[in-house]
Amino acid sequence: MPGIRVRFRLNGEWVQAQGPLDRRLIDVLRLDLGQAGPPEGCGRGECGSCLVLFNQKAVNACLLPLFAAAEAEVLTAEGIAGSRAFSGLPAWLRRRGLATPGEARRCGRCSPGRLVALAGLYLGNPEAEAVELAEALSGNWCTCGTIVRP
Amino acid sequence: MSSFIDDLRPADCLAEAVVRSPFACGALRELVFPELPEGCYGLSAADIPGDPLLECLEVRIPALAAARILHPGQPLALLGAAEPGLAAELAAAVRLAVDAEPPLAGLSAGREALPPANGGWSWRRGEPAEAFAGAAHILEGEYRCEIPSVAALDPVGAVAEWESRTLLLHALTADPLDLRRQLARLLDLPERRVRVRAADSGPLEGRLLPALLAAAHAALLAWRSGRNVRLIYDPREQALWGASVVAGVMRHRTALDSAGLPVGAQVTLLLDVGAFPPAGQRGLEEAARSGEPACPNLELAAGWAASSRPPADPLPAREAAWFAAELHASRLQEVAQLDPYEWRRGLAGRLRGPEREALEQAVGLADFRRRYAACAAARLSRAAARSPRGIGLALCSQEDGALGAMRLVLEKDGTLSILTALAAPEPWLAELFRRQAARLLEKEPGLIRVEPADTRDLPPGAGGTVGRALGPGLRLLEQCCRDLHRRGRPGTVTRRAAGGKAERSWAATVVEVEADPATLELRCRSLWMALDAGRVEDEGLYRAFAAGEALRALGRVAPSRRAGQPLPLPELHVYFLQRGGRAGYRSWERLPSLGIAPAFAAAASQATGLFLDQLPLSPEVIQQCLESE
Repeated sequence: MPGIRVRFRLNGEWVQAQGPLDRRLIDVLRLDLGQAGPPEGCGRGECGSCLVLFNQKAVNACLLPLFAAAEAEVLTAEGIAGSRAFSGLPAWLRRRGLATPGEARRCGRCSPGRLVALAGLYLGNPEAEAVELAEALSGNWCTCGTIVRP
Repeated sequence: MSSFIDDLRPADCLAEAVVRSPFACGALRELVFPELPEGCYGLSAADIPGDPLLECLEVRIPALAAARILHPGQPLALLGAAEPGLAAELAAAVRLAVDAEPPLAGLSAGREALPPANGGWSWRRGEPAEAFAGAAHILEGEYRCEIPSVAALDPVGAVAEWESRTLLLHALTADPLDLRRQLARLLDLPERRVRVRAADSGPLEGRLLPALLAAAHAALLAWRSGRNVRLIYDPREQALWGASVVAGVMRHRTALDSAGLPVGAQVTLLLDVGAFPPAGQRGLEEAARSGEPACPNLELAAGWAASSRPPADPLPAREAAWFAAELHASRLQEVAQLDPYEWRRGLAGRLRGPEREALEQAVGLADFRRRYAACAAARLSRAAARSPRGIGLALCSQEDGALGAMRLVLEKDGTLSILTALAAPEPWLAELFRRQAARLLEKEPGLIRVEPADTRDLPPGAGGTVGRALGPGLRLLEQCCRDLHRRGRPGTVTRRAAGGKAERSWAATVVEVEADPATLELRCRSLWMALDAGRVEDEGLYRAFAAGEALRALGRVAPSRRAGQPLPLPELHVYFLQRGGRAGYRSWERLPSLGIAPAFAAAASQATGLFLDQLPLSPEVIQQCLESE
């Protein structure tokens, strides 16, 4: 597999990454760039643990090949938590009866993915209500079960 | 944010791969490593410097198989390389010569394979034989189940780091001091040269053995190479070897008097926890006592089987015992022609106070009697029922852990550190202890830290008890906070659990089930639960935890087969019998899940008209029952 070198914006800063064409973005983020924010779960796009905001859309980083990230804007849960663009997110969630993910209920493994899913909805559809919230979180598993879907 | 084991990445670290047996059973004649490039390391059982056996909950398991292979996937050797891909390649190139033998399949074969010394456990009260001789009815039932370990998103693994001459192990453990003792023995090092620190983790019950093995494997390779080592199971390895299943066959034979109440009972449990059954009897006694019928004349017997399955830790055996006992009770109620509440009320003199209270609360919350009568009536006119429904009731209990120690350090600047293994490794326990200490000492929660459980700082005797740490933990915390308050100045206080008689918590569970009339797919519509969980300090957190346990148990009982669709969630009602804090703190972590399986199976039996005596209630099991009808 030929190697490539790509550049993308991670949490507002340009970074470079390299590897085989089909290298997963999750591996680049976790192994090369030291991001703990997207934890790996099932590794096949089902559990939503590794969600990142990819060009403002929530995407599973375990399914995204490195080449697709070229010149993209990637935000992890850490980036969202530190971004002024999302400073209204906690209040937006409170108005809809949800707490901000991040407060560990039992293990907290799914919290970053839930935060990214909700942040994606906040950007894409600020008028979203219960149905859209439930839909946005439908791909986020909580295996310890302490997070019940809205 | 939690720091999980796969978030840890020490510098200059070897990736580790485990060579696993492709055979279920056999004799390992030879194991040959490929030529190892520079900077790569290999290690087999022959290289282990100390005691190769590890112990967990009375299970003694070899860190690496030496001569006998007892289950598929048994670890045989370890490979370390700079890159995970290279380590996996080298592991795949290891040559094995094995005299394969047929695997031991099934519980009876597994039982026969055990030495006579592992004869099991038995206990008797009253005169069961006389009770059976004078019985009005005798009812027998055999119940089978497979309880998978709890699903978790975080991987099993361990990270070993060298700190000058000390080996620091980051591991998934609730008892870092015990793990340190075992690793020191395995590596033939003095205990002072091994340090263990518990990493955050999801549910650990059912994953204790894989986690112990991972810690031992990381430590062995670090010792061999003298370098840092990172061993994290990938999703495939995690699915295959990071979890396990406890299987059981439970036989209940009950003598009833003319009023339909039990006067004598014989219960036998045969439990399969895979290739390495526990050597002791404590786990068996605990499992058998878990479903002990309220009956004056009683005979209990329990035994392990040793099949060729991957080893499982024996804790889920309690769930199997409760499943059989409570489902059998629902059959006794049918023989007595009473609704489940009436039948249990007949046992009034034999039930303890909190048990009765939990039962009454759950029955009241669910409006159980009317719903039961409606479901029973609908069952009689089945042709008219569009979506057959059923409702089931179960009453279960759990004992406290009795171990643990805690140290509180109050600094001059007002910050407080809590040092204990009782909060490890699940972050919600740490959060609960932090909030509770803030309340007791009237401090800002931000000034309180629950330190990661680390053998360097823990007081002696600080071992935790997976799934039963809440009671001793909160009791110790209250005592320590009181000591600190009395002292009135910065300093350190240490307390150790007093032991003694374990407290018991009770739960009554009501489950309403709906069956799809076309496919007989089962769905839980509503779930009511009354928990006698002692003093409830943080109701929001307790409620979320109880809901989580209940939902996970539902997933194990009736796994959904509709890929791509979220599991339909039931209406969930949880009620805590706080009892004004009279009972103090108790452990109840597994309690919400214990009653789900029997109540669900009883409800499903009522809805479908089939007698469902197996777990999980998969479409295949229902199909089998339909065919046998």
